Amino acid sequence: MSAVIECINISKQYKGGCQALDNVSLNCQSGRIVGLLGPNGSGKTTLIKILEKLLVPTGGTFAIAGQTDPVEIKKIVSYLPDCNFLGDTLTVKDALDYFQTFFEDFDRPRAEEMMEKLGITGTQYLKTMSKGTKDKLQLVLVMSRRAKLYLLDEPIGGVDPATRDFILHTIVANTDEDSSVLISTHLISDVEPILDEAVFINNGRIVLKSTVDAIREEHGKSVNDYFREVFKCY
Amino acid sequence: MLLKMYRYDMKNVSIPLLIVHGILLVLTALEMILMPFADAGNAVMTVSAIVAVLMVLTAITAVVLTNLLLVLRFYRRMFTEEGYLTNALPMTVDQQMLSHTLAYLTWYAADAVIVMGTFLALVLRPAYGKSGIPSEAVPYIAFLIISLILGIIASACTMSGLAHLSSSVGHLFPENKGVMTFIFYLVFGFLCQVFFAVFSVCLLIGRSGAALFGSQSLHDAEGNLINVLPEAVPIVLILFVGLMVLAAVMYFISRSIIKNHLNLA
Repeated sequence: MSAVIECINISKQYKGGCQALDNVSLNCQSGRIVGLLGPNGSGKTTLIKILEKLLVPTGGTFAIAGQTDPVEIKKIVSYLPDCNFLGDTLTVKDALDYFQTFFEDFDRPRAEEMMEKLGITGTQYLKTMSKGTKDKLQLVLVMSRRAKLYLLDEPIGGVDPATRDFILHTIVANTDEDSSVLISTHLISDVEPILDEAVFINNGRIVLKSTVDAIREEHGKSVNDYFREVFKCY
Repeated sequence: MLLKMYRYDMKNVSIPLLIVHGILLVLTALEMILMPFADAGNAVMTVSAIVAVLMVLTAITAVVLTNLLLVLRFYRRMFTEEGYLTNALPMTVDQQMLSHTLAYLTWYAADAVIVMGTFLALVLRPAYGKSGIPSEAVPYIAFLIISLILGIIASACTMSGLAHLSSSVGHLFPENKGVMTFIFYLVFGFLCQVFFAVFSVCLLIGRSGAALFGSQSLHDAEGNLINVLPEAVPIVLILFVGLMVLAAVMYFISRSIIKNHLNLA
């Protein structure tokens, strides 16, 4: 296994003095599904945006599969943001064409196969779709790339349990030995079954990085229960 | 990647712009058919007048829509939720901005050619329809055409720079991004107009301008056209360079804001 993510002392301070990340060092191997777990405002999204080169860190360095150049990183990283990034005026076919045009690693047959299972047709306009269907479509597009790293920011936030199951199944089914997945979420009980590793982040600092099995063995409880203990508010 | 994004920028704005410019061309053709018969009776004259008014309104709509859609296109794909996808594409900020500038140039040029062409067609048709263009006027018409081409290129680059600058500066105000972008578009647009006006006046009150516009007539005592091209050409070139420098300044300020202040790598 080789390192897909190598972060060394990443810091990010926003204007106004908010320290979103404070000397974060992280190393993730290929073939792993890693949960980036933390409460709201802990720095999860900031870290993911930095790894996708959407934000510039104020300190530290990082490489994705050995790459440091922004364009090269974007070629090998598939990113799912926590919002609707496809314009509502597009049809499903337009969205597929867009991904095929700009991402050389986009596997269109794989995307079409998944869409067929979901009953999504190419002529459908995105503005006619429900939030859950749009989320599924976005995930299908992102996971249909043969990327080295998938960065998924809150992929199961705000969707029903059936959609969550589909999303988690899609993530597992499309992750191969050469690629890694970093999932940011605070809905731990839902993602726990698919995680290999868990990274706890709080106030911009990594407070724990361990395999899911090790957490269960060492603490005698599930990752979800241990998370509740660590981030207890009262 | 630059050309791929250019194609998408073009595709995004093309349908409404093709429709409105198509309507303008149809109205022009109709007006050209009606004009020779305008003296025939009140009914034809009335229809011709209505078509002429519609032509003017459509031309104004075409110009406004062209600029509006192209500004919105850049704003949406860079600074709204769609930006999460656009900025995750494997391309540089320069490619993102240049592709939009090229699309702006293409549609701005098409718009200018169609709008000016339709009105020139109506104006020139009765003037030169029978006798043709006098040979002595050919260099001046060639000069005018070249000046127009340079003017269109410089204006398109300036307008595109204005779109980039107002969007990026407006985005520095996270609470009111859209409103601030609109306000800065008006403010920077006004400043560009002031720059252009001052720059032009400075040129025209110089020796070249005096020589060009000092005489009351374009003809000398013997009735021949005075050759003003040696004086006019440098003025046009200086104006062109001035506007291109202004566009470049706006481009690099926007680029700096996007890279350093908005933190897009």
